[in-house]
Amino acid sequence: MSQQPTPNQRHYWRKSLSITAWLMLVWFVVTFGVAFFARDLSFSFFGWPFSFWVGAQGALGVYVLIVGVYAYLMNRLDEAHSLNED
Amino acid sequence: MADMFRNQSGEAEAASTRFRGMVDRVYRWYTLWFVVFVVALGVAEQLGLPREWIGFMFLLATVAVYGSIGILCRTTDPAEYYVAGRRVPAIYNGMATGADWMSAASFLGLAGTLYLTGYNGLAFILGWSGGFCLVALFLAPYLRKFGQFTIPDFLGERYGGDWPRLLGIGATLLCSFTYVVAQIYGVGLITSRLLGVAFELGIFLGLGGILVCSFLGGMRAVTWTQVAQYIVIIVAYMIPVVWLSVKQTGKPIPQAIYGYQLEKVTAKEADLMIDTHELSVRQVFADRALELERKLVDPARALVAERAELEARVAALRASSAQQK
Repeated sequence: MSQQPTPNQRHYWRKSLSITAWLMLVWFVVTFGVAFFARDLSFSFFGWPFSFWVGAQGALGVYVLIVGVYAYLMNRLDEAHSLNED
Repeated sequence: MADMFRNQSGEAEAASTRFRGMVDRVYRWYTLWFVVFVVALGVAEQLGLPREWIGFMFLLATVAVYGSIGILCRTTDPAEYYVAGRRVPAIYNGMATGADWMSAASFLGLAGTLYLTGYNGLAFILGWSGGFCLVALFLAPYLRKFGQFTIPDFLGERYGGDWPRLLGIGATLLCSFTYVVAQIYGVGLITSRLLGVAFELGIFLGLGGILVCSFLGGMRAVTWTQVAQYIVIIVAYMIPVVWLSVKQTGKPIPQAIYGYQLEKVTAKEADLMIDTHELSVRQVFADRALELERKLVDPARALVAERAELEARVAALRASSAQQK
């Protein structure tokens, strides 16, 4: 697109990038962080070694939360910048 | 001008609420009939309906439901065909995605994979669940904003040129090929088990059903059949584990207690390893293996000796039966 983005649009984009980055950080820690330090994180949790429990249940819960939080924050951001789609 | 837009968006909102209400009503009825159907089959089983008939009726009912959804949802409008008109309520889209998540591959394959490979098997769960996060954060919002139907289309539009589009096509093919192979295998297994047809024929029957349903109605039919599947699947998943959990521990939340239960199983396993009866059974099998190994040193001689022994036994039996006459 040739026209310059307005300050409003620029701010919107910066905000949405930072939301995405923070949530992906959480995603990365839960997915790769826990798997990488799996041996050190093997204290008992709900009857499982903690790292196993995260892989089987915890991570999935966090994933659902990530998607939910993203949808909530982006809806609010859209409204604040009056860019909502519908 | 602004007023007009507000009116329009108000109208759209009212239409989407109406649509939501209609969908809610349809699936409430569907769930009710599903429960009635299962209870009726349960009663019929108690009255002595054979197992093959029950399987056959389940399959027939499933095919009838999916087929009728496919036919009811047939469409030629591209927006309806590719993205279900972009008006599936979020909760129903979630149900459809959930049905994909717990499909034939996860139901049949994952329990075995985890049993076989332990912690490493969880990579599959993390991979395909974590992948949903990537799709939700990086692709879905932009796909929607750009108004494209498919990921290769979106990549082509966003980055320009054929290379991003080809890359998208390659990734799509790679993912769906792996996924479809597992699914088709599951379809073949289920059809051959329930209908008693050959595995290969089962695959083609299943594929035929899928093709008819999805070619007629595209994403619209697929989404609504997935929601119907979700209701069946979630009931079929939850009832056995909740039942088991209540039976064993008195608590109806298997997620919270199955770790402790497995700990008990592990302890029991250790007990079993040093149990005297278990050890004597092992000794019997070990003796048998030793005997076979001895025979395998010279198979030809062992065969001759065994044959002579059996012939002698046959002769002895003949003699004894002749005496009785």
